[in-house]
Amino acid sequence: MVFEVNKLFVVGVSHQTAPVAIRESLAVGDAVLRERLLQAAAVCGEAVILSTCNRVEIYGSGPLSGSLEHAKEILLQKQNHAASCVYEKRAEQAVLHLFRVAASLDSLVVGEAQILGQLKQAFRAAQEAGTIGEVLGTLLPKAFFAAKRIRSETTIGENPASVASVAVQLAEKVFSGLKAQPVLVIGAGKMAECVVRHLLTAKVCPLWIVNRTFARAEHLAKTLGGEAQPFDQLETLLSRAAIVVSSTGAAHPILHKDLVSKVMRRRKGRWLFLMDIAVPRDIAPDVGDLDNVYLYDLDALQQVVSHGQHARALQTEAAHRIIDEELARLVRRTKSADVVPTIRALRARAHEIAASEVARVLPRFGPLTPSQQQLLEHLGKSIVNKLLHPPLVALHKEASDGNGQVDDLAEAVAKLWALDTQIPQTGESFETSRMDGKDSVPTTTSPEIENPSS
Amino acid sequence: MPPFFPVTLALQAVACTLYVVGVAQPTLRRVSAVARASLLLAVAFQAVDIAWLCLRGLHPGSSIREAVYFLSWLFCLAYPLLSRKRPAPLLGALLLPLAMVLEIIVRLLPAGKAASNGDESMFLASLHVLSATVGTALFGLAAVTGVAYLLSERHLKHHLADAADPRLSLQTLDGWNHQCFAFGLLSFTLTMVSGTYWLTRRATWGQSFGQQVLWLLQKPQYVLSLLTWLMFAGLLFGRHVLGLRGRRAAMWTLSGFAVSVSILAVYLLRDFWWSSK
Repeated sequence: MVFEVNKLFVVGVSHQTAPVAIRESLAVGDAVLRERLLQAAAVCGEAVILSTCNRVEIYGSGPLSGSLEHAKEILLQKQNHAASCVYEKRAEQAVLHLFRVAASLDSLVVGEAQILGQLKQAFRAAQEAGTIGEVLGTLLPKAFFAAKRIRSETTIGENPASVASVAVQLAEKVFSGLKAQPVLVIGAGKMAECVVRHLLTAKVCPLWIVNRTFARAEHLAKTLGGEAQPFDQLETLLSRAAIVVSSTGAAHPILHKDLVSKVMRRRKGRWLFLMDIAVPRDIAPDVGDLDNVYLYDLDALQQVVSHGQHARALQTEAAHRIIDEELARLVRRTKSADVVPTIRALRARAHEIAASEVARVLPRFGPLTPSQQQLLEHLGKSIVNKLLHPPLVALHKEASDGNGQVDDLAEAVAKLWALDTQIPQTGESFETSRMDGKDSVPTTTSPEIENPSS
Repeated sequence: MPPFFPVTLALQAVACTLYVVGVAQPTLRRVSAVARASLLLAVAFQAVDIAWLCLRGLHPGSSIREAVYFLSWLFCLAYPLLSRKRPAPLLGALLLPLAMVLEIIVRLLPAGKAASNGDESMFLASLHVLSATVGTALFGLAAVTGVAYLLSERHLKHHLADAADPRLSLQTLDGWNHQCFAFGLLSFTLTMVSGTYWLTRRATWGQSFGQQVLWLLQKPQYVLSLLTWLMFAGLLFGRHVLGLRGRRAAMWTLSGFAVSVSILAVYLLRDFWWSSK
């Protein structure tokens, strides 16, 4: 199967082109996703809709003139004021964009892992709606594969790039594992909630929440699945918790060195990781001087975040290199796929001749046993395979190398053997015999070329 | 010189260099695998070397020189065992130079005499030397994990962007430190008992207990051994009763290991002095 890459396009808005108000007005919820996919596919033939907090995009394939405009209308949903924020990319540019999005190189936080999952989810939704065809069915798995390669071969996803993820990573540097580590939250602010949500993904437990206003502690405890405790239990809870997240609106520190020192004696030196994300600070800075106490305030956390962002930025070059490699591989496969019809036709023709010749000479041998007949038929096939092996390998190699002579060669083969085949133009089509996104560089042992010794 | 010693040393040097590279560039993941392969080869070569020495009667219990060579092998063997679940190039980068220095010092000393078989005091001496070697190896490992702890802790305390070895947490390092010195103490207790028994047998018959104690305390290696044992026993007590862990425990381990190394130094210097006479 082959498809034309020039039919691919993408229209969308992202954090780079549109403010959050426009992005949320264009967002496609689960309830209408199927309907929109079907609307888009009705004209484009194929469609995938990616809708996240940072981007809303429609990937499609079809005749560019009509399809693209139709997809744009579906994206905008008559909100024409947002038209200036929409970007369009076609053919190779669209492929490159898809690969960049999957690899999180186009994300607000470069290297974040969620986008790949969101794109896979969008792909699954499109598959369920039946709007995936040859183009997107081949390209998206390839983009997933490239993104996975980037995550495993570079450190783009290793350095945390947000305060919440930094908090989790730092805690992991103190404790052997966060599972079943008790967490104490002081205050009931939004920031603390965000950090604790990240910690909860690491399966910390139990989670205690203290706040001067008990009702607010109870509310947050209900939201996060924790346990609200009275504020006067602070000292007792401190001696039991491993991780403390403090985010109160207090004007002065609420945790002093004397108090924490007393707590550490009760804890028998067990490590205590304190995160002070309040401004003004809740924990006196000299608490960090105590043995086995690790105190990070907002500035310190921000410092680690900046380092992580810088480290990720340094990895983007390597990530782009991988994308280039994968695109080049895709192009090579496409070129290789161009000669597939010729190869198939040639093999069919040769085997047809061999079979007819064997059928012609068989009666001359007189009565033969079935095994003798099979032997003769096998002989014919074997001769054909051995004769065809070198030219087929050469044809495949020429196509993979992309020397530009493959079309001439394929045409010559077709003429010499009087083959009835249409040879597609090089560079405009991709092979779609595999859609699993796995590495599949054509080799001389591909199904098209049988081993002559077989 | 044993036949495989230069090869062992070269392989250890390669592994050590690669571990240093692994610490500096954690993204180069294949480096760690190559270093591990190189170290395992070195361990195998050194094991053959030690077996070859044993066949000549120079087993690890026969002299301090062979014991220290065995000690360096234990250091090299311990690292792949410690890091089998969690890669820790920092530990490798700290442990291998220690092993290599010990090996080079040992090779600079003259070869010892082959041990005679069937002698009861020789058996006791071998047991003493072997248990001391294993104990010191474990104290050494505890000290290395202590250094790794101090480096990681410094990064976390000072809010440096990245901890020294991103794959090992403070709690893990402290746990390894505890396990190593606790088992080391067990082995060293055997050393102390066998050493005391052996030395008191050599003391003059008819001496009172007080005189025997005084005689023992005149032996520098005995005093240093006793100090080592007391330090690690104190650390174990402090950990379980007072919660002595983390930075202070790491520093305490380092001091204890320094004292245990000084025992080796006393023995090696004594051997060197006797051989040069």
